[in-house]
Amino acid sequence: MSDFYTSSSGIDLSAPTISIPGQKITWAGEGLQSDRFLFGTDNGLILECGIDGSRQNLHSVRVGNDDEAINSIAFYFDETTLHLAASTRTDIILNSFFMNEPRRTIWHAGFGAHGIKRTHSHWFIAPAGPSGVVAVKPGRGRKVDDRHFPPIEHAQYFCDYTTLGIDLATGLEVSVFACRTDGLAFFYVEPNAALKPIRFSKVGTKIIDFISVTSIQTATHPLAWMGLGKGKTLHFMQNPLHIEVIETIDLSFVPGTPYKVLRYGPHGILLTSKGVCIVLDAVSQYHRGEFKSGKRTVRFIETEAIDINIAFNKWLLVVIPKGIVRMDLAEVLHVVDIPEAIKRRMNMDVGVLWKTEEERVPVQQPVWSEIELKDKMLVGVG
Amino acid sequence: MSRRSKRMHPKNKPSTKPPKRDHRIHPVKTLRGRTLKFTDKHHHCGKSDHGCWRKSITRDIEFSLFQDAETGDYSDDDGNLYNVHKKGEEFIEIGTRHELLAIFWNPKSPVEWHGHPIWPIKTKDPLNRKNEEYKPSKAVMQRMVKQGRISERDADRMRRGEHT
Repeated sequence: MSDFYTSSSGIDLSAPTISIPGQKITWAGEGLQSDRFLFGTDNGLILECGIDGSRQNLHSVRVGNDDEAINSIAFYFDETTLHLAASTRTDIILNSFFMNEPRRTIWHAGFGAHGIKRTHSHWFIAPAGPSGVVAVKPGRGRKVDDRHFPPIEHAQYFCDYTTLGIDLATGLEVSVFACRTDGLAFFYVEPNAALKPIRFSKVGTKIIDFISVTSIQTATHPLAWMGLGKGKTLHFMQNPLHIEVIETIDLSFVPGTPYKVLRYGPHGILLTSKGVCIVLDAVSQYHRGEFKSGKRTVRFIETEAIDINIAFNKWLLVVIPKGIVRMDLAEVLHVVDIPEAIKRRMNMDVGVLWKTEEERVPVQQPVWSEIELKDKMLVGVG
Repeated sequence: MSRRSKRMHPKNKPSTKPPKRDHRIHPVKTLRGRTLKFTDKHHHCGKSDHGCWRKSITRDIEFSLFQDAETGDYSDDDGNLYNVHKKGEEFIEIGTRHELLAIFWNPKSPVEWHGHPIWPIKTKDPLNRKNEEYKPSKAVMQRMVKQGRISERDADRMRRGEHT
């Protein structure tokens, strides 16, 4: 059963909530303070503004010397310095803002990455496609500790990265990379040695083309992850350090080519070429062991988005060619009853359509039920 | 002069057979008279790092991508051509490592063109044409959008180095 109806929350994903005159935004995320967003532009600028779009251009910083589109930004503060890293398709750049001094680009890679994220131990880590993995950590003064981990297997392609929680046995942080056709790569993040490969995994005999991965950690399962396959399959696992069952749900009924997966509380959020899909309660059901064959409800909001990110565990920032659409996720998820007046607008050009899909979740097949872990080094230290 | 002297030695007779075809060159020329060469480097890659066409991308498909790029003028300042392979609205991977975008290098002389899939991001050790500016430029993307080959969103994602 499927039904189309409009959102009563007034969200319109065809019109931006925030736009910056003269700038094309290509990345959006949390700002330096809880009432700010950070934006990356298609000409290499970083902008900050209030969550309502006001006070724009508070910071206007060109990341590097070129004018490539920013695809990710990560940062942290230490006592005296703001460390801010950004990635584009041609470079990975680390800037530091020392107190009372102008910005300095203190390091750059000279090659591109698909994104950059910060670990708990203050490493900036970037999945650099066929170049492998880059890890960089600002040191005292203007020193930088940088590591490059090239792939040691042909055709490995690092396309997404996320940091998981702390492994209770070793006390080390665990990271995971999505490696396209080759599966997932797990690493320890050691405070002084960057990345230490743990294992490289494929799921049974099935090759899964992972394109995105995110943490779904809980207090009892700090290393749990959720990964998105190119075939619109969503995979879940609680502890990647031990051989364990991986569970899969099939979302092939969701329109479009899948791009990215995020977690918002108990829900999974997918970005596809056709829209944003909220898979209701997917994460909580998985942790409760309630994945069963049966009907599943998703909410689908049609849009042609470039990227999505969640800011301050409240806002879903949808980057569209004209700007940013800011959605209050709590408000979106509480839309239950659709007023008749809005239903009658179905045939009008209202911009946003919600689609409720109910599809069968496939029963776990034996081939999907185990993860084959290959205990071999994934990468060599460059 | 005797009759015999006019006879041509069999070895020197012009052959009546058609010239042997070079299978590395597509038999059809583009509307602008350009020819496309299929190099081993980009077609029979083993573990090399060169961008390599998938086996499902036949030589005719590769040629049509080249020809369509020429027709649509999806070119950069150096005259190199670019194209994507689509089925309806969906992009089809053309390279053995999930590449979506093809480049056809301008030979800048009257020799055959050749093309191959390119990475969406600049790699640590550029595989081809070292030290050249990363391709494709914004201008190429804008031209493809203007011609309706890709959407504005697709162009934005490609500029970010994303697989669309």
